[in-house]
Amino acid sequence: MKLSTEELDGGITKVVLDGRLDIEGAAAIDLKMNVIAGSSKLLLLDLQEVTFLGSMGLRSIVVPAQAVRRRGGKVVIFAPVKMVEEVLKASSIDALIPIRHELADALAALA
Amino acid sequence: MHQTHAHKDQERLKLNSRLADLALVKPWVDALATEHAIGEDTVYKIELCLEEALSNIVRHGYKGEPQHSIELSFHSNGDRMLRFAIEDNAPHFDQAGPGRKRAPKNAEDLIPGGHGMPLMQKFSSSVAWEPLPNGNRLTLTFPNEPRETETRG
Repeated sequence: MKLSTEELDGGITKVVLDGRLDIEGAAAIDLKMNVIAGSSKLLLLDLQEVTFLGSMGLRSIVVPAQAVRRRGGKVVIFAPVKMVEEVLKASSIDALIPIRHELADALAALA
Repeated sequence: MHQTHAHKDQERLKLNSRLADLALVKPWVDALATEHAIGEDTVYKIELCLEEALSNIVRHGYKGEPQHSIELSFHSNGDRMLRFAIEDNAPHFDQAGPGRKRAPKNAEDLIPGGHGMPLMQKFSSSVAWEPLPNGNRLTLTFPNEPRETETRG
Protein backbone atom coordinates (compact mmCIF):
# COMPACT_ATOMS: atom_id res chain seq x y z
CA MET A 1 0.00 0.00 0.00
CA LYS A 2 1.49 3.30 -1.10
CA LEU A 3 0.59 6.74 0.18
CA SER A 4 1.73 10.03 -1.27
CA THR A 5 0.63 13.60 -0.70
CA GLU A 6 0.46 16.69 -2.82
CA GLU A 7 -0.35 20.24 -1.69
CA LEU A 8 -2.86 21.88 -3.99
CA ASP A 9 -3.99 25.50 -4.23
CA GLY A 10 -6.36 26.67 -1.54
CA GLY A 11 -4.71 24.76 1.26
CA ILE A 12 -5.96 21.41 -0.01
CA THR A 13 -3.93 18.30 0.77
CA LYS A 14 -4.36 15.59 -1.82
CA VAL A 15 -3.67 12.12 -0.44
CA VAL A 16 -3.12 9.49 -3.12
CA LEU A 17 -3.58 5.90 -1.98
CA ASP A 18 -2.40 3.07 -4.19
CA GLY A 19 -2.92 -0.63 -3.55
CA ARG A 20 -5.08 -2.85 -1.38
CA LEU A 21 -6.63 -1.24 1.67
CA ASP A 22 -7.05 -4.54 3.48
CA ILE A 23 -5.85 -5.27 7.02
CA GLU A 24 -2.21 -5.16 5.96
CA GLY A 25 -2.68 -2.05 3.85
CA ALA A 26 -4.61 -0.28 6.59
CA ALA A 27 -1.85 -0.98 9.09
CA ALA A 28 0.68 0.45 6.65
CA ILE A 29 -1.03 3.83 6.31
CA ASP A 30 -2.81 4.42 9.63
CA LEU A 31 -0.05 6.41 11.27
CA LYS A 32 0.63 8.51 8.18
CA MET A 33 -3.07 9.22 7.73
CA ASN A 34 -3.41 10.36 11.32
CA VAL A 35 -0.42 12.66 10.97
CA ILE A 36 -1.87 14.15 7.79
CA ALA A 37 -5.27 14.57 9.41
CA GLY A 38 -3.63 16.41 12.29
CA SER A 39 -2.12 19.04 10.04
CA SER A 40 -4.64 19.45 7.21
CA LYS A 41 -8.06 21.06 7.15
CA LEU A 42 -9.02 20.28 3.57
CA LEU A 43 -8.38 16.69 2.54
CA LEU A 44 -8.89 15.16 -0.88
CA LEU A 45 -8.58 11.38 -0.65
CA ASP A 46 -7.70 10.04 -4.09
CA LEU A 47 -8.81 6.39 -4.16
CA GLN A 48 -8.67 5.73 -7.88
CA GLU A 49 -5.75 3.31 -7.50
CA VAL A 50 -7.20 1.51 -4.48
CA THR A 51 -8.16 -1.95 -5.71
CA PHE A 52 -9.63 -3.32 -2.48
CA LEU A 53 -11.27 -1.78 0.56
CA GLY A 54 -12.30 -3.73 3.65
CA SER A 55 -13.61 -2.63 7.02
CA MET A 56 -10.14 -2.01 8.45
CA GLY A 57 -9.47 0.16 5.42
CA LEU A 58 -12.71 2.01 6.09
CA ARG A 59 -11.42 2.74 9.56
CA SER A 60 -8.24 4.18 8.05
CA ILE A 61 -10.42 6.66 6.18
CA VAL A 62 -13.10 7.40 8.77
CA VAL A 63 -10.87 8.10 11.77
CA PRO A 64 -8.74 10.77 10.03
CA ALA A 65 -11.83 12.23 8.36
CA GLN A 66 -13.49 12.64 11.73
CA ALA A 67 -10.38 14.31 13.09
CA VAL A 68 -10.35 16.80 10.22
CA ARG A 69 -14.05 17.55 10.60
CA ARG A 70 -13.72 18.05 14.35
CA ARG A 71 -11.29 20.85 13.59
CA GLY A 72 -13.74 22.45 11.18
CA GLY A 73 -12.20 20.97 8.06
CA LYS A 74 -13.63 19.10 5.09
CA VAL A 75 -12.89 15.76 3.44
CA VAL A 76 -13.86 14.44 0.03
CA ILE A 77 -13.26 11.03 -1.54
CA PHE A 78 -12.16 11.15 -5.17
CA ALA A 79 -12.70 8.56 -7.89
CA PRO A 80 -13.05 5.21 -6.15
CA VAL A 81 -13.42 2.20 -8.46
CA LYS A 82 -16.81 0.51 -8.62
CA MET A 83 -16.43 -2.14 -5.94
CA VAL A 84 -14.62 0.20 -3.56
CA GLU A 85 -17.46 2.69 -3.97
CA GLU A 86 -19.97 -0.08 -3.25
CA VAL A 87 -18.21 -0.80 0.04
CA LEU A 88 -18.20 2.91 0.93
CA LYS A 89 -21.91 3.14 0.19
CA ALA A 90 -22.75 -0.09 2.00
CA SER A 91 -21.11 1.43 5.07
CA SER A 92 -23.05 4.71 4.71
CA ILE A 93 -19.80 6.63 4.49
CA ASP A 94 -20.84 8.25 1.23
CA ALA A 95 -23.62 10.11 3.07
CA LEU A 96 -21.07 11.72 5.36
CA ILE A 97 -17.93 12.06 3.28
CA PRO A 98 -18.88 13.10 -0.26
CA ILE A 99 -17.66 10.99 -3.18
CA ARG A 100 -16.81 12.78 -6.42
CA HIS A 101 -15.55 11.35 -9.69
CA GLU A 102 -14.50 14.59 -11.37
CA LEU A 103 -11.58 16.49 -9.91
CA ALA A 104 -13.34 19.84 -10.37
CA ASP A 105 -16.32 18.55 -8.41
CA ALA A 106 -14.07 17.20 -5.68
CA LEU A 107 -12.29 20.53 -5.35
CA ALA A 108 -15.63 22.33 -5.29
CA ALA A 109 -16.79 20.14 -2.43
CA LEU A 110 -13.84 21.40 -0.41
CA ALA A 111 -14.47 25.08 -1.17
CA MET B 1 -21.48 -29.36 -18.23
CA HIS B 2 -22.16 -32.66 -16.51
CA GLN B 3 -23.28 -32.18 -12.93
CA THR B 4 -22.42 -34.47 -10.08
CA HIS B 5 -23.59 -34.55 -6.51
CA ALA B 6 -21.94 -33.33 -3.34
CA HIS B 7 -18.57 -31.68 -3.30
CA LYS B 8 -17.50 -32.01 -6.85
CA ASP B 9 -14.93 -29.32 -6.20
CA GLN B 10 -13.45 -28.76 -2.82
CA GLU B 11 -10.39 -27.03 -1.51
CA ARG B 12 -9.19 -26.33 1.98
CA LEU B 13 -6.95 -23.78 3.61
CA LYS B 14 -5.72 -23.94 7.18
CA LEU B 15 -4.63 -20.82 9.01
CA ASN B 16 -3.36 -19.93 12.43
CA SER B 17 -5.29 -17.28 14.32
CA ARG B 18 -2.98 -14.44 13.35
CA LEU B 19 -3.95 -11.42 11.30
CA ALA B 20 -0.73 -11.94 9.32
CA ASP B 21 -2.08 -15.30 8.12
CA LEU B 22 -4.94 -13.53 6.37
CA ALA B 23 -2.44 -12.68 3.64
CA LEU B 24 -2.67 -16.36 2.62
CA VAL B 25 -6.34 -16.01 1.72
CA LYS B 26 -5.98 -13.84 -1.39
CA PRO B 27 -3.69 -16.24 -3.31
CA TRP B 28 -5.97 -19.13 -2.31
CA VAL B 29 -9.05 -17.31 -3.60
CA ASP B 30 -7.19 -16.19 -6.73
CA ALA B 31 -6.33 -19.83 -7.50
CA LEU B 32 -9.96 -20.85 -7.02
CA ALA B 33 -11.04 -17.97 -9.23
CA THR B 34 -8.77 -19.15 -12.01
CA GLU B 35 -9.90 -22.75 -11.69
CA HIS B 36 -13.60 -21.92 -11.57
CA ALA B 37 -13.62 -18.85 -13.85
CA ILE B 38 -15.01 -16.67 -11.09
CA GLY B 39 -15.61 -13.06 -12.14
CA GLU B 40 -13.51 -10.31 -10.63
CA ASP B 41 -16.41 -8.57 -8.87
CA THR B 42 -17.31 -11.88 -7.25
CA VAL B 43 -13.69 -12.42 -6.26
CA TYR B 44 -13.75 -9.00 -4.60
CA LYS B 45 -16.90 -9.93 -2.64
CA ILE B 46 -15.39 -13.25 -1.56
CA GLU B 47 -12.14 -11.65 -0.41
CA LEU B 48 -14.04 -8.91 1.41
CA CYS B 49 -16.33 -11.30 3.27
CA LEU B 50 -13.55 -13.73 4.14
CA GLU B 51 -11.36 -10.92 5.48
CA GLU B 52 -14.20 -9.63 7.63
CA ALA B 53 -15.09 -13.09 8.93
CA LEU B 54 -11.51 -14.15 9.61
CA SER B 55 -10.49 -10.90 11.28
CA ASN B 56 -13.55 -11.17 13.53
CA ILE B 57 -12.53 -14.70 14.52
CA VAL B 58 -8.93 -13.68 15.22
CA ARG B 59 -9.71 -10.48 17.10
CA HIS B 60 -12.95 -11.38 18.87
CA GLY B 61 -13.33 -15.17 18.79
CA TYR B 62 -9.76 -15.98 19.76
CA LYS B 63 -9.15 -12.53 21.34
CA GLY B 64 -5.84 -12.16 19.55
CA GLU B 65 -4.34 -15.44 20.75
CA PRO B 66 -2.24 -16.64 17.80
CA GLN B 67 -1.90 -20.38 18.39
CA HIS B 68 -5.41 -21.47 17.39
CA SER B 69 -6.52 -22.92 14.10
CA ILE B 70 -9.01 -21.77 11.51
CA GLU B 71 -10.00 -23.93 8.56
CA LEU B 72 -11.55 -22.66 5.37
CA SER B 73 -13.19 -24.92 2.84
CA PHE B 74 -14.57 -24.20 -0.59
CA HIS B 75 -17.38 -26.13 -2.24
CA SER B 76 -18.94 -25.79 -5.65
CA ASN B 77 -21.58 -28.36 -6.48
CA GLY B 78 -22.14 -27.31 -10.03
CA ASP B 79 -25.20 -25.24 -9.11
CA ARG B 80 -23.31 -22.03 -9.85
CA MET B 81 -23.23 -21.21 -6.17
CA LEU B 82 -19.90 -20.90 -4.41
CA ARG B 83 -19.81 -21.89 -0.76
CA PHE B 84 -17.11 -21.03 1.73
CA ALA B 85 -17.19 -22.53 5.21
CA ILE B 86 -15.00 -21.25 8.03
CA GLU B 87 -14.56 -23.42 11.09
CA ASP B 88 -12.90 -22.38 14.33
CA ASN B 89 -12.57 -23.62 17.89
CA ALA B 90 -13.45 -20.31 19.50
CA PRO B 91 -16.29 -19.74 21.99
CA HIS B 92 -19.68 -19.62 20.36
CA PHE B 93 -20.32 -16.54 18.30
CA ASP B 94 -22.57 -13.91 19.90
CA GLN B 95 -25.19 -13.33 17.22
CA ALA B 96 -26.73 -10.45 19.13
CA GLY B 97 -23.49 -8.50 18.92
CA PRO B 98 -22.55 -7.67 15.35
CA GLY B 99 -24.91 -6.79 12.54
CA ARG B 100 -27.04 -4.38 14.49
CA LYS B 101 -25.29 -1.26 13.36
CA ARG B 102 -27.56 1.75 13.12
CA ALA B 103 -27.24 4.27 10.32
CA PRO B 104 -25.04 7.21 11.35
CA LYS B 105 -26.65 10.65 11.45
CA ASN B 106 -23.43 12.55 10.83
CA ALA B 107 -19.72 11.97 10.40
CA GLU B 108 -19.04 12.15 14.11
CA ASP B 109 -21.72 9.52 14.68
CA LEU B 110 -20.02 7.10 12.28
CA ILE B 111 -18.39 4.44 14.41
CA PRO B 112 -15.02 3.40 13.03
CA GLY B 113 -15.10 -0.38 12.96
CA GLY B 114 -18.01 -2.73 13.38
CA HIS B 115 -18.75 -2.86 9.67
CA GLY B 116 -17.74 -6.50 9.27
CA MET B 117 -21.06 -8.31 9.65
CA PRO B 118 -23.08 -5.72 7.68
CA LEU B 119 -20.56 -5.96 4.84
CA MET B 120 -20.75 -9.76 4.84
CA GLN B 121 -24.54 -9.58 4.72
CA LYS B 122 -24.42 -7.05 1.89
CA PHE B 123 -21.82 -8.71 -0.31
CA SER B 124 -22.68 -12.40 0.04
CA SER B 125 -25.84 -14.23 -0.95
CA SER B 126 -26.17 -15.75 2.50
CA VAL B 127 -24.40 -15.83 5.84
CA ALA B 128 -25.16 -18.78 8.12
CA TRP B 129 -23.66 -19.48 11.52
CA GLU B 130 -23.95 -22.77 13.33
CA PRO B 131 -22.44 -23.85 16.64
CA LEU B 132 -20.11 -26.84 16.62
CA PRO B 133 -19.38 -28.89 19.75
CA ASN B 134 -16.10 -27.03 20.17
CA GLY B 135 -16.42 -24.01 17.98
CA ASN B 136 -18.29 -22.37 15.15
CA ARG B 137 -18.96 -22.82 11.47
CA LEU B 138 -19.73 -19.78 9.33
CA THR B 139 -20.94 -20.48 5.81
CA LEU B 140 -20.94 -17.80 3.14
CA THR B 141 -22.41 -18.30 -0.33
CA PHE B 142 -21.92 -16.32 -3.50
CA PRO B 143 -23.37 -16.67 -6.98
CA ASN B 144 -20.69 -17.56 -9.48
CA GLU B 145 -20.92 -14.78 -12.02
CA PRO B 146 -18.50 -15.89 -14.71
CA ARG B 147 -15.89 -13.49 -15.95
CA GLU B 148 -17.31 -13.18 -19.45
CA THR B 149 -20.66 -11.84 -18.19
CA GLU B 150 -19.21 -9.11 -16.01
CA THR B 151 -18.41 -5.61 -17.11
CA ARG B 152 -16.11 -3.18 -15.46
CA GLY B 153 -17.73 -0.07 -14.01
